[in-house]
Amino acid sequence: MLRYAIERLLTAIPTLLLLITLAFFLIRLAPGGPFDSERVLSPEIEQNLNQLYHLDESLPVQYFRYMGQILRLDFGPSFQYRDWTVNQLIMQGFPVSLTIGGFALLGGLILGVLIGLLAALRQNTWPDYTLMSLAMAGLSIPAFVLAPLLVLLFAVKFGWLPAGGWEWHWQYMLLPIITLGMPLVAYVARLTRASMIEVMRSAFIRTARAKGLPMWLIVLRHALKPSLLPVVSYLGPAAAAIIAGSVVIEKIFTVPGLGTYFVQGALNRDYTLVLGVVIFYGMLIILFNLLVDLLYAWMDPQIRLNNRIRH
Amino acid sequence: MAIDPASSGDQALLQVSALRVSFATADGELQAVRAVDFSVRSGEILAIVGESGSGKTQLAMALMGLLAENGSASGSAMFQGHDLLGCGQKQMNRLRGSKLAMIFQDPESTLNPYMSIGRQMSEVLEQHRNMPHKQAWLVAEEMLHQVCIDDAHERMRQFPYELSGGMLQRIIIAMALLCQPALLIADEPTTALDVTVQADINRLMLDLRERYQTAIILITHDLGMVAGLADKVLVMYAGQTMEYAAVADLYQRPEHPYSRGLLRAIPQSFSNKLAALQPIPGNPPNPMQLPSGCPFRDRCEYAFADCTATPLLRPARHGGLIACHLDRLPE
Repeated sequence: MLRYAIERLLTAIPTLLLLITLAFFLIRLAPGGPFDSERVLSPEIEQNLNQLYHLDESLPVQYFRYMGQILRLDFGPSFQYRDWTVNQLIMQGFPVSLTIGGFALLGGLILGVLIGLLAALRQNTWPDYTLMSLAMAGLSIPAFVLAPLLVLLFAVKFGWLPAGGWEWHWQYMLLPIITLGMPLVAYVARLTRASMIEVMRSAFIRTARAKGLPMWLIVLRHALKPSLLPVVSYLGPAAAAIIAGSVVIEKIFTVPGLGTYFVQGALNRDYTLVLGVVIFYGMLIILFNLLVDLLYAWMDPQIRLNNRIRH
Repeated sequence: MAIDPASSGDQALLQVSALRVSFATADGELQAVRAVDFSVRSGEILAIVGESGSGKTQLAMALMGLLAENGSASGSAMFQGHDLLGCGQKQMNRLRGSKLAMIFQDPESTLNPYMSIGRQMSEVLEQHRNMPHKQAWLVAEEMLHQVCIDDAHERMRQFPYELSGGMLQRIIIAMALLCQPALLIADEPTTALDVTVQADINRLMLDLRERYQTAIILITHDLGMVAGLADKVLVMYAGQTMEYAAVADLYQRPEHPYSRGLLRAIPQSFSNKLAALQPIPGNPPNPMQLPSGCPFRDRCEYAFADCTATPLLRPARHGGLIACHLDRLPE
């Protein structure tokens, strides 16, 4: 198992290198530069700035300089937020994004699985139809529609929750979490329902019934684990979707998370900030996928033991 | 042997009367089993024989309460004072796995691939005998020894896909016998296995019958296998009983054309004459559109005018029962 984990970590290195390289050159392809603004800078100042941030060097030199920094986990200074390093900005924004994203992922997962199980065990009855229609709706409504609707309802009409902004208080977190987690709940519910129904039809469930086990025990002990396997393998893409979604949702609710910094950085051509966030999230997704794979291997004895045999 | 189910009622372990199984399908009602009667006594082996689609598996499923959701069973199946067809989930769960056990056709898919052999066995004892986990584990391991599995200790920790089909079927049989059931239903237990392993499993079942006095309902399409195992045979066709007789009688002088057809379709390895193998021409009728009268008449070489009327089950010369209008089966 440990060896498997190390192997997976090593294969992540080329992925990460590719990601950094692509991000590095793509952001520089965007028209304009970090110090373009309405106030025209004198050529001397601009040259000084470029020199300070090494933008006067050739692109390959910049690239390798940047790579060297990354190896020391130093994302460099932000071009736009003067006196801030990208590392500091990430430390500032990430806890906020992690809170919203983490709750959305965890809550979406738990709620989705519960809904899916309920629908599967009540297959083709009205609770099943109702839940699955809702799930379909949850999947089809995009965040930029759902968010204003929620704001309109809970902030403007009832005045229960703030329309945006950020404090470390649940009232500020609730709407972003709901908006972010909604599609996840819907997707996980559909996934769980389908796989639970399939598992309940399998021969080994019939065997469990023939043993005289009560239904709740069959579901919990025999059916739950195999029906959760598809959900577990969806966790990787789900985390990526949460991160991508957070960029939009933080902007809508003006939450000062990493997504907001990312959008701001992209608009300002803040090369180091954009790169920093991209690489940081890239590493996060790779790490998360590794954890998911380990979890999957732990749940499925066939994979677990194949690894044991292979090594 | 008193083969008539009506006369052996008192001592019967299982008394099945007028058992019907039907399924509600999109095209209407499908009758899989149509009024079948039989009885099984303690320690007795009854073989239910028929081609695929004859309703034999659904009959077993009905007895175990394992019919698909669109299926329903009527009639009665008295087992140790309980009607298996009408006693409800709770009572069924008390009987299943304890007094009444079933083993299935395909051992590779019968066990849960995500649970160790030991866990799947011990849970039966935990459920029905209220044994603590550790004790249940030890008893289960002992049961693996009983069915001649080597390295039982190691096997308990293994997962189904690590073991061969024959080994799995032994384990499944051991699992079914954990609570020493009075009745074991074995649905084509050797069909998915190698021929050499088949003989092993058959020997094992006979052995266990001797040791625990377990009655066995053996469901198979293979009359050849029945000869060495069963005490009596129920031949089913299109959901109905065609012939019901002691095994020796059925083999020596079958009275139903279908039974004789099945017997002649058994390959005889000792007589090198392939020509002796006579398949029954045609296919079983579509259960959605059964012909009136005898369901076998389209494939029967002796069919005559009377066969358009449904033949009733009547006493046969060999002392069993038969559903055929023929007075005497021509040689």
